[in-house]
Amino acid sequence: MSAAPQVTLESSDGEKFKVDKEVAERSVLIKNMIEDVGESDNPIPLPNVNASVLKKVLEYCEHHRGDPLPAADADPSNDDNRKRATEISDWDQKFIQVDQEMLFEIILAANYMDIKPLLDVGCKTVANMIKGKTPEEIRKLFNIVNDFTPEEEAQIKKENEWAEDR
Amino acid sequence: MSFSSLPDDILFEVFTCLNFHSIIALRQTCRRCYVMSKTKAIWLHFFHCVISDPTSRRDVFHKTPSSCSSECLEKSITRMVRFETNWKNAQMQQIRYFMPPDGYAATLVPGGRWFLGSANEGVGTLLYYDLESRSPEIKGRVLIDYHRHWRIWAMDLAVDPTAAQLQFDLALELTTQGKIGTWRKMQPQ
Repeated sequence: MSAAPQVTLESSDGEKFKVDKEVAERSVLIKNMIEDVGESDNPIPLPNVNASVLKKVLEYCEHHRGDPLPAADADPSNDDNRKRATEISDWDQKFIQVDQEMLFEIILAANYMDIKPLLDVGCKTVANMIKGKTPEEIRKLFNIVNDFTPEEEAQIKKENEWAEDR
Repeated sequence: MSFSSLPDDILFEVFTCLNFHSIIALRQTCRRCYVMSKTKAIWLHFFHCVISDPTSRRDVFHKTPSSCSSECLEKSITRMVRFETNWKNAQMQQIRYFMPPDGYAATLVPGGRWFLGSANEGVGTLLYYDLESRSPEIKGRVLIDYHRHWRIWAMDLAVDPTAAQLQFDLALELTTQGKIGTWRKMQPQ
């Protein structure tokens, strides 16, 4: 039995990762690149992803290597169902327990590398962090600068007041 | 990398994962989130997952959601969520009997506290009743005063979801003119 075909990925900071093609192809970006240029021994450059993030992303891809790929032209209402359900599997939950900086880096990488399920896990995690918090708590959580004028803030608060008492 | 430096398309993705109350909370944090929360795509997206729940009320929409403006879409969804919120928060333990007047028309205002009914003497008077009143007998108070030529046959109301206090448009079907009249009334107190 021949060994599984492998590809080499190169992070923005020049680190090379040799992984199974099946694992790398969880990324639609890489899958398309391999299809376009054909298989070669040259490393595939990922100029937007640094080594520590790429390592994390590949860990995800490795774990999910056997998962069915999401259909490209999935029914939009199914897409909504999938997204709105904020449940994240146990493994994914553990995997995404990283600091905020890394969380946002993973989300960006998943978006760039076109790994939809990982992007979902990241965005759902952010959504879960926001859930149940007041605007002030959210600002504190993410270091968001309040750039409203006091008048605007009062107006917006008033506009949305009723929704706040749960 | 921080939340504020996420590009718009990612911020959008985050918004589509939020529940209603989180959207409302996040929009109040900064200008960018506020503007983003007003985009039609977010509410349209939200709507599509609301209708996947068969128990939710679709009747608040009078036209197809995709042809609504972003504002109208948000308003309708807000109304729907507000109804459900009030419904879930209703106190069910305290049951008391309330005999509405022998009028021609009556309706319960969404939220369940206020009841509107045309009076038994002089059906041209519209009364409101506070169902949460602690007094042993719930007395009607005048919302629209007696009109000699009126007979109120039916009524319907639309609560303004954006108002801080309960506020609604009221449509009355009257016999004299055979027309429908509309009032905007603020809740007293």
